[in-house]
Amino acid sequence: MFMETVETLQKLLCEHCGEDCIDDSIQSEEKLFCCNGCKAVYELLHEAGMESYYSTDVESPGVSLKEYKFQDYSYLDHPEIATKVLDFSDAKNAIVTFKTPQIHCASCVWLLENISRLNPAISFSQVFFDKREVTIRFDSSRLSLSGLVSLMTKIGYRPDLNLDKVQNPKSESSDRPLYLKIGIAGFAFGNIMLFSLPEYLSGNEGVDSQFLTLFGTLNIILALPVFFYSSLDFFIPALKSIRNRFWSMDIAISLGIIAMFFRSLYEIYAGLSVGYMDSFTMLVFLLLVGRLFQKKTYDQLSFERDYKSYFPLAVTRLSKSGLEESVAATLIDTNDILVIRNGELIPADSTLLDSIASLDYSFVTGEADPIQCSKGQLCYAGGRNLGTSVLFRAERPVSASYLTRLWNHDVFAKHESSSIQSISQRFSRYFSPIILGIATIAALFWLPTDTSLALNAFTAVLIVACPCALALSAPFTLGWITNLLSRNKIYLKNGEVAEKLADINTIVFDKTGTLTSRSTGEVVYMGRELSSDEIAMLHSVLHENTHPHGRAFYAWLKSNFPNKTRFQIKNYKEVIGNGVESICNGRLVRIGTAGWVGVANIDPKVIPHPRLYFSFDDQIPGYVEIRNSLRVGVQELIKNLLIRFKLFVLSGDNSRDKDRLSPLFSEEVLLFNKSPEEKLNMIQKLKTQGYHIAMIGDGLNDAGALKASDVGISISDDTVSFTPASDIIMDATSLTKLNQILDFTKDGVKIIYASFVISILYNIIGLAFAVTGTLSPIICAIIMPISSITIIAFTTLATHLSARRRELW
Amino acid sequence: MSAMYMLIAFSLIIATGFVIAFIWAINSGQYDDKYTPSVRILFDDEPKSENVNPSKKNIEKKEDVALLKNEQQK
Repeated sequence: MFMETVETLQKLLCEHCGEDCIDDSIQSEEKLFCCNGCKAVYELLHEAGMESYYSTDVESPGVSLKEYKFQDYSYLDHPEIATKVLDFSDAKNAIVTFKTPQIHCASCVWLLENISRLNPAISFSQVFFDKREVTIRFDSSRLSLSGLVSLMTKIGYRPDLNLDKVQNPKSESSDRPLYLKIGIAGFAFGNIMLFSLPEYLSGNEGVDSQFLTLFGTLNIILALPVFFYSSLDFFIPALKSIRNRFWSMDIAISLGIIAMFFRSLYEIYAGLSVGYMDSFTMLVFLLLVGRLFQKKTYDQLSFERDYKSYFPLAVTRLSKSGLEESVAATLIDTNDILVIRNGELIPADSTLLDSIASLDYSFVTGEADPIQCSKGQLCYAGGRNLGTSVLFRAERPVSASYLTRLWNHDVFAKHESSSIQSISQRFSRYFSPIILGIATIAALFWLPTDTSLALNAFTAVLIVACPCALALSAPFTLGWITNLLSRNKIYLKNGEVAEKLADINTIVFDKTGTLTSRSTGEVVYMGRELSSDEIAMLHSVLHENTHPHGRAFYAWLKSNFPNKTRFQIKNYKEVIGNGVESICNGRLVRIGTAGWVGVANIDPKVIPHPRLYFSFDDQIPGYVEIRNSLRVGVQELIKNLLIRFKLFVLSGDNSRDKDRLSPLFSEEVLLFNKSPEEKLNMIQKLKTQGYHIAMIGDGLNDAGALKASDVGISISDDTVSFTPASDIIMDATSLTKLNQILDFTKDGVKIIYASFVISILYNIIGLAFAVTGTLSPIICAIIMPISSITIIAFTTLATHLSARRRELW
Repeated sequence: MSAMYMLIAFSLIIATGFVIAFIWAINSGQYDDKYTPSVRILFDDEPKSENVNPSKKNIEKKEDVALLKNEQQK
């Protein structure tokens, strides 16, 4: 009877964040909330008269505060840290820019731009949505920086504060110069076209000579800024490649530009025509547009993160007098006593001073299960404390810890060395010399008969062969690939990555967090059937538990035995390394290890998967086994990939999942217990054997391998969270599309080759005019746009068709 | 035909005006953030606002911030 009424209840959704409410116990003004944090935000906004937050965009725009933990931000008021965090400060005002990855909708923008109504000391705030940033100006005498951060955390937008922010001053790369160059080239192109048309349309008699000089002079004036400013984007790289003795596409483009410009000067000066200035400016305009198209960046993502973005900005230190103080993590010295609270990271290799601690290293080493540390044991940096707060003694400063040493490896020292040349580069190595050769031969051929014709032919070849269409092929194809992949939540660092991806023949997987899911374990229950009361009791006790196994058990209970009844729990106790106990419904409930619950003769080291036993009073109905579950669709993906690629698994975890992976992979490619360095070395070894490797990983321990591989792909469950430096950031749900993605990039390379052929055909037509010395400005002005538009249309259509065929669009 | 010269002069003056406007727009940062302004324009003005002219005040503030940032860069 009771169960029935429960089931007829509607799903209860939180007014603030829209997540499920467990029951209706948390209420304010007849509105339901999932947690007290959400309720606090609602009340805060309600008091300030800011309900518009809930009506601006989506139904429940808030960020869930279930995971919210109070943190002490007083370290931010330390002048040394504050100056590095603040953009600007004087006696009265301070300006700060925070990265807040939680920004996701218009309501977020509204709330953050009206934050001044929550605290009058804030005078101005502005959101930069694409970068997920908010700039705030506040009165530093009335509101401290820590107060501001606390306020933002309280309303659900906790700024991203990590070591990176302090150690690396932010570098701003701007698209402004490129926009300016395009704008100027476009302006000149449009106007020059107008002044050139009269000549094209006048037929055989030509334009009045006075107009010819006027239009010619105006064309020169308009073309000057294009030649001296907009074209710099081609001249500078061309000079660089000449210095490096390397034929690049920019050389051919620059030669064409220079030939066009000076030939036009001559023709206008001699009164022959109005010159090729229209073709010249159009060429520069189109090529720059191509560059902009390929340059599409994802401001909200960072492809260059290292451990500094993972570690916190500051930690709590116990001073000699026994007082807790916040210090910057960089200032930690050997023998400092650190207080690490629940959920915080150990910033440096340290010795445990308390009797026991439970640490989650899954992100750092790939080990899926929490590690129990005992007193006096050395714990490596990067572990997350799962229990109550514990004391550590630092053994080394942050920069010298076991984990951060990985970044001292050579692969991190050298900059992006383009070992694999892009297709255009390989192509232009032949293209530019051939064009110069043809131009010289044409000139030599006419030289004995007519010197002016020889010069004519020479410049005409350079002009018409200027690889405009050719140079647009790769940017537009790669630009579209990047664009289409981003719709599938796959973000490429740049277009060249797509080319490299097409060249891959080996894929190396990380296990924990990549093949297996980090959050949801597969839970298997062994034991007798449970009554609904018992299930409700487990629900109630596990609700507050933060241990990953407890959470997995709870999630499994929730999905398999939906239950809205909750018992009051009394005497809740969590013993690190053992389990929890509580009095619930009048019975003593214990959940935890075999020893804790009272099952004898089970050695946790012998059983293949971690188990959670539970007991009601002293009666033990059974246990649950928690296995790492493979991500959905991974099995099928591996089967499909095996047909064409060599696959490896490099795991930092122990080999207990071998049984589950060996049906998919052969024995010799499953490698377990690999340290971050070993992973890196393994990739380098494979590379020397001639494999082209894509490494797919997610944790800090994969950082070296991701960097060393040809294409590093990092997997992320939500694209806002931390990912190590890589070439591609991929949403975990898109992993199953990997096969299609690889096919798609291979198609992309074929499309580039096909458009090369098309543009070469246009070049041959143009060259036929050029070598005979009969190229006129009007022919040039027709061939150039037609060839460019053909290429743009072809690459656009072909990439979209391919994406459709690969089910990516 | 002298009308042609005048018309050409006019057209060039107007076109140059647009280029200058474009350069100003780029340099004042209007192309830096291409998404947020599209959201911002949809926010309703609060009826019970105390400021006499909130929109104008906002503009002043934004210029202030730009100014302060520029000073800092120098």
